[in-house]
Amino acid sequence: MNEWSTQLAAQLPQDSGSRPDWFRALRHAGAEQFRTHGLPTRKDEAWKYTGLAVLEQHGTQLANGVEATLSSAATPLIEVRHQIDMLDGRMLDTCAELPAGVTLLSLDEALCGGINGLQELLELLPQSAQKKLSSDGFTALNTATLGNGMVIHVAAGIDGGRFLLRWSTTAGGNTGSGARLFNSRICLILEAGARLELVEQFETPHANANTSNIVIQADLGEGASLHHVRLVQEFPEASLITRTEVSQKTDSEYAYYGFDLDGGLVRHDLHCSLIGSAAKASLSGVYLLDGKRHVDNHAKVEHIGPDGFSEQYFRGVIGGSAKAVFNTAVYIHPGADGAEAKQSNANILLSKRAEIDTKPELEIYADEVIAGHGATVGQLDEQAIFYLRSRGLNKDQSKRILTTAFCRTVCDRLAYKMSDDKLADAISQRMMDVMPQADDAG
Amino acid sequence: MLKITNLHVEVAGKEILKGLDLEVKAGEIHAIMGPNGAGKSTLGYVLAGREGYEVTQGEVVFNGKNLLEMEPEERACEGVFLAFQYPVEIPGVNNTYFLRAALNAQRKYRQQSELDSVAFLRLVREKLKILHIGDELLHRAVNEGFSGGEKKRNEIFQMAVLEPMLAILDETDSGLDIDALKTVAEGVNRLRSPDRAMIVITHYQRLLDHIVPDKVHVLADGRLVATGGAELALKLEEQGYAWLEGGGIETLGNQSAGQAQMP
Amino acid sequence: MSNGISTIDALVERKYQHGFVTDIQSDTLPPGLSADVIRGISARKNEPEWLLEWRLKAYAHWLKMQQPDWAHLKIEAIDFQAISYYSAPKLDKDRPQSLDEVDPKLLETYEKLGVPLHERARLAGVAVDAIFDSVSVGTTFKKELRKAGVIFCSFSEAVQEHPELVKKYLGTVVPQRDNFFAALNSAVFTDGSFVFIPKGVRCPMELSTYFRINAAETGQFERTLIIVEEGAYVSYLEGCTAPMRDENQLHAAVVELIALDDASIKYSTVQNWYPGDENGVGGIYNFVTKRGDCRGARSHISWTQVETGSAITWKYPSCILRGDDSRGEFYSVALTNNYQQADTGTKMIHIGRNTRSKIISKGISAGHAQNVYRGLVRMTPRADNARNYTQCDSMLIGKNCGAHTFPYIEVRNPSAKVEHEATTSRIGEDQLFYCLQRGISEEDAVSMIVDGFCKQVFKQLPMEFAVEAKALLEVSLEGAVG
Repeated sequence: MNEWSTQLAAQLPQDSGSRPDWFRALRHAGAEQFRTHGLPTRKDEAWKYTGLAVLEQHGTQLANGVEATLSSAATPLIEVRHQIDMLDGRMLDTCAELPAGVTLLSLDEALCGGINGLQELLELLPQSAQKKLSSDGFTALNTATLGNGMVIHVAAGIDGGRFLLRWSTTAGGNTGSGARLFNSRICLILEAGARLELVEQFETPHANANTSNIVIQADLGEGASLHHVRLVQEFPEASLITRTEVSQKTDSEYAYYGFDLDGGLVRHDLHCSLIGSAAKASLSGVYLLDGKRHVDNHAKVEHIGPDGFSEQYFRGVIGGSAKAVFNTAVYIHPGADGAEAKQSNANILLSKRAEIDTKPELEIYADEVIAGHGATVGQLDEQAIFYLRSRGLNKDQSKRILTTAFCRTVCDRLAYKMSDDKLADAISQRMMDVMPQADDAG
Repeated sequence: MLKITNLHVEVAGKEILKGLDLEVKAGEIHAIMGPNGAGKSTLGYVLAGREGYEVTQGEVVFNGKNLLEMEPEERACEGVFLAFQYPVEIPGVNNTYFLRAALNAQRKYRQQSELDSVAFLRLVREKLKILHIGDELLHRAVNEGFSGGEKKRNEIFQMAVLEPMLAILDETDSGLDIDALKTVAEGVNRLRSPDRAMIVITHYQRLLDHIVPDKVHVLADGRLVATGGAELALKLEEQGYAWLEGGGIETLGNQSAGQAQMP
Repeated sequence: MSNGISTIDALVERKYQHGFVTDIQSDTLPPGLSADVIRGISARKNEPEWLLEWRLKAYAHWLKMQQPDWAHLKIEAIDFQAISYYSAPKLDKDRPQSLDEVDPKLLETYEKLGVPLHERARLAGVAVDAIFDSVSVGTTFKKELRKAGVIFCSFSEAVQEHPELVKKYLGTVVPQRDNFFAALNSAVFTDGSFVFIPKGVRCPMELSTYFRINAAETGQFERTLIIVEEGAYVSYLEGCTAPMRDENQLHAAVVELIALDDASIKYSTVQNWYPGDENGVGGIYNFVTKRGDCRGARSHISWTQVETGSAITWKYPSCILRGDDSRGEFYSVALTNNYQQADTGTKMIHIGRNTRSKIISKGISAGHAQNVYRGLVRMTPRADNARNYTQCDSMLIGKNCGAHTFPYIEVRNPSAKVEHEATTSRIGEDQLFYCLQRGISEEDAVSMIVDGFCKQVFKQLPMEFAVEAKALLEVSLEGAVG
């Protein structure tokens, strides 16, 4: 375990006695794991291409528990009735007029009791001192500091509507001292037939070098449906490490649309377990990077019950000296017969110093399976570029339109599935604005 | 408007155009026919500025300017339009969005004000009416899932909106059945104007039944070997291209020295 | 090349002779590995000092390395001290004296595979002199090759007769430290093949043909080195379809290929080492490091493999596409049944400009077997305009087997293009029923479907092997369906 992890471990908070025993045991297990193994290193297969040196360089310290107030916030991506601000991982204020059947509390309040299934959900994430069994160091750290966060519970048959979660951190200095690591846990519990749309906007409006470590756990009951949209547009010095764990019962549906448009180091581990039969997971995303940014998306779908359906559809455009890592995995357990799994990843590299490492994995232990994947790395279609230029658009404009179109297909899926052109357009516009440019050679 | 002098063009190291001369005035429609492999599409691509087509000799003057020195988008903004033989599909780029971007790029170049989406939509609907084309193609991505006929119609539609000075139609009739052909031809005819010139490149004569040209040229083996009126096209239809080689018409190196006349 | 087969048949009908293994003392070293054992091996082979030093250096590296455990394999611990690293070839008096003494089941397999009659005796290890007289097939071939300037001999012979060549190229494609098993091999390798094709020469025969008649007794730690100079060509095939038994469980070979400007190497492998019984007991561990260096511009290396044997297969024949415009290809059919495990694939490293690679991998998994494709396609920053196409297909037969794909794609050049596709299929009840309803037997239906699945790869094999490979697959899949 390296020195920096040891330093962080020393900063782990002592436990207060006012929480339930099971909760303290959970935090303790997380702390134990973190003290034993620390943060992941490049020797871990899952972190092979992503190093954490930049966090150390910023002198990142664990958040010190000071509760800041929100001074400024980014313009909301879309107008919604229910908007919640998360500052430094802490839920700021609850929103009024929740629909009937929807409970929304800060994690702290929720622990006082009253939320069905919360304990089981929190205890799902395996905390173990055995390295091979432990999820990873960041999750351990998150569990060890469990406290800040939010819980949404939607009762059976209720349509919870749409919630916008706006994340930001307190400016803690651009480089050097002051950079902080904030932890937060979001729990979403949807009972049978419940529906919910969650839109997350990670956009701190002032320069900062903070790291956010967020774990989202979603439990979907039979026939439940969760639509999850994520827009990440943090500062190039900031880091965002997230893990989204979704467990799905029979007939449930999870749709994810992730847009990584900015942020220095962005890592997302998305993990869906199709436990019940005929569950569906639809994961799509776009990652755009240039400069020296680093975006690592790991998406894994486990087919456990039979007749599950999963598709993964991601697009990436990489310029500058940026590095994108992309790993989709499909694991079909014995007995998950009738599974159908598709993976598709297409990437465009725009400059000589850009890099993409992609690995579509497939592990199949069942029968009657339809599984396939495709991964490509290539360039824009020359013919299409000429077509646009022959109509009067210059080279840069033409390339920008085409790279946007390349990524727009993901927005189109969102627009179609969620019947929301406005949201798709808002995201599409942002993509256009930050679209990486080709090198002169490209 | 357009004067091509002694144009030699190489593609992948092989010479395709071997000294082509052509002069087109405003208001004229010139047809260029010829056997396959003669270089008809090459002419269109070279004028539009496609990469991979190397001009080894000769010059092209368009409205007093040196066309060959300009980038493809410059040529478009100057008023050159190529209706492609095989228009490429561009999924994810909305047809309306694309056309508005192009029109505004051209207007900006000419120092005219850009059109906002409302004004643009109005313009577009007008053009659709003139051409008798339905508006479904406004909502689709550029050429995506279009049939052959739909793609060609889209090219003509773009031409109507962009209002070029010189329109080059590269085998606009290829792959079309007779009804689709008539529709496309009608559209082209509606765009005829004394300020506009058109070069219609075609292998078969039948398109010229509907788009009657002022002059017909025959392009064979990299050069224009014959020029005549609309009747030349009919003669070719009757006799086939082999007729050209059998004597009767001599290959001319320099068009200005006189055209070969029909016997 | 047409003289190849008929000449052999004629000769072998009458006679068979020892292969080209040089005469050595016939004692066997006791089990165990140490610097002394290595000295012993080197001494018995009369090796020059520099080669002994080279072995010892590898051994020193190996001691510091750890056996890798990241492959998707369940391997029982190997006791490296329990292996004997040098054993003398079997004496004639200890062998079966005629085909009558050979296990009838083995003969049955030869029949099914269509192994030519004259080969069965050799494959069964029948004592040579008892059957054939002393005309040497080997000598005839050697004359032909020598005329063309081709050197084809055992590795040991090459060390004696062409030490400068060996010294120049050995370890330049697979360095001693490359991996655990390569280091072990570099320390204790016994023998293998050495091929040298001089400038502009197109090797006059499939070297496979030669091998079929005259293979050396296969060693545990084979070392092969193939060098093809400018503008030259060779097609080499190792292995055979007949099931090969061996008391030694661990096989760790190293194969190095070097292709200079405009050179071309076609390397085919048909591997059917004993896979263990239906309960997964016994069986050979086949851990091989194979790599080709397309050193020269416009060079070309093609790997084709049909793997149906071994309890555990771990190999990634790879190409380093160094020279501009060089090409690498990998065609593979890997079949696992019962309790076999395979973790195989390829690495294509694009360094030069305009390099091309093509990967076609077909994995068939049946019984309780696990079949993994693991590949790496790496486009380095200088690899302008490089192209890769990968097609990775798995076929699962039955409920209890597994098929897995782990393709690593690392791209650092904006003009490179990588296209990777993978599909999974199965032999379903409805497909079978369709065939049965048309009058085709179940066995034949399975064969047809599997053959169709593997066609792209079989096409790459030298013709006689394509036919045998088909038969091999059929035999290996017996009882897998239904």
